[in-house]
Amino acid sequence: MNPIIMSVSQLNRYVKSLLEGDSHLANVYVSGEISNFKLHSLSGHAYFSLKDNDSLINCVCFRANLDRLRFTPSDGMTVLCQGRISLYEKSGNYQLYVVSMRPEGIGELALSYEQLKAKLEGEGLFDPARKRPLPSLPRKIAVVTARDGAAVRDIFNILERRYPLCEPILCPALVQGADAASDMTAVLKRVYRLPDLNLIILGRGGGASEDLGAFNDETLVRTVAASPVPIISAVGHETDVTLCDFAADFRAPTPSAAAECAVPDQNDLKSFLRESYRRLGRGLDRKYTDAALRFDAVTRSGILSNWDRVVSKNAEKLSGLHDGLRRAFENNSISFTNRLSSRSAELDALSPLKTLARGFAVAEKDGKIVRSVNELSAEETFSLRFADGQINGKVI
Amino acid sequence: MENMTFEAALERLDVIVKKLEAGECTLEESFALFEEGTALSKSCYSMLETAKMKIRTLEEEEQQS
Repeated sequence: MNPIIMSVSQLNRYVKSLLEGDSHLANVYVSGEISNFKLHSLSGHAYFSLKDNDSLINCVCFRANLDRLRFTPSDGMTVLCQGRISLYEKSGNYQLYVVSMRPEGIGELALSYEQLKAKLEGEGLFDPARKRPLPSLPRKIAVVTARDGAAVRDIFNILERRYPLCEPILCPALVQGADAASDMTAVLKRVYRLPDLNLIILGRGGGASEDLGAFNDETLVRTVAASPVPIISAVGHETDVTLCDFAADFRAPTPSAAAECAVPDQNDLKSFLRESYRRLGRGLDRKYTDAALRFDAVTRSGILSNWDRVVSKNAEKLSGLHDGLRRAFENNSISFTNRLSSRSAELDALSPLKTLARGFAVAEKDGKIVRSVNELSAEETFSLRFADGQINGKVI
Repeated sequence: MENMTFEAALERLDVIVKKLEAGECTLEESFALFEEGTALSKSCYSMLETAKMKIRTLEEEEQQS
């Protein structure tokens, strides 16, 4: 291969493109001690080095990113920087372009948190598309938390107040200490095998942030992400977001909030039921009014306007029929009213009953509703349909 | 309906209300829907009223299944 002759600029540009083309270098976390920190008064950008015992790297943090820091970096401070690696063409220096930075007071823990977070994020474990909606009417709810303590009491109290039809399953687990992560993982795996499970709440009460470490354990986080049913993470800190929170389908700031989100409020359900009741009444009323209008039209037309004449003319045949009809009519109205009003006092207020009390029947011919007087001619037979049966008639 | 769960009853009620409101059924069908719907809403209501939440432990639940 022939050597390529290139200018310094071309070389720097080429190396820069190599650096920028590397996906690992596009987002790196680097821990080290700040030295030679200089704030450029004009641009507001900060230039410094990060070093450990053996090495050093040049860093730049632009003003916009610098302004977002909640602390002021200075020489000697150990920090965790997040940023990208690139090359400054003018000087040929490769450097870290710092996007965010945090003091390393909590040291290793924060570093491993960030690294694990970046790793799992890269695998798509925290992808919003993976989040499932919570079931609207969950029945079996596994509550994985400490057996004793405020959290579990709060959760059960709220579940019972809101939706007593749910069936919570208390799944005691260690939520802090060295064994917490493996214990919670084991309990979750048992929970996953339960049949007919609808929802899981994983939580604990508040506590020092070091105590939340278990919820950042890689195995536990992966187990949470693998839940066969929606899972709510309620680790109990408004401010501390654990990796379990990211992996769960839903994050609640506190165990109480998790219980609130988990089940519907029975008051809302009762409103819905009352409203459904009213809507049924209105729906039937409309239907009935339609039928009544048709019946009125038939009556007004004269075909049925004079029952007495019908009866006297065919007295023997029809008097019984007439009475029967009337009885059927009244009985029907009454029994219907009784049946319905016994269901709820509320129903009395519903208009269909008032309509029923007025008493209506539907005329049918050949199994079809008679919608117009024109559908019946003299001597033609038809039937009158009531809720408890039908009776035949003839046009005179 | 006796053995219907609350969830199933509520779902059925929703279907019935919408069907009845659509007004496309015969009068007879409408009556039947009204009757079924009112019965469902009442039974759902009483299920909520009378429910006593049962808490089981994971061990109990495992033994049962």
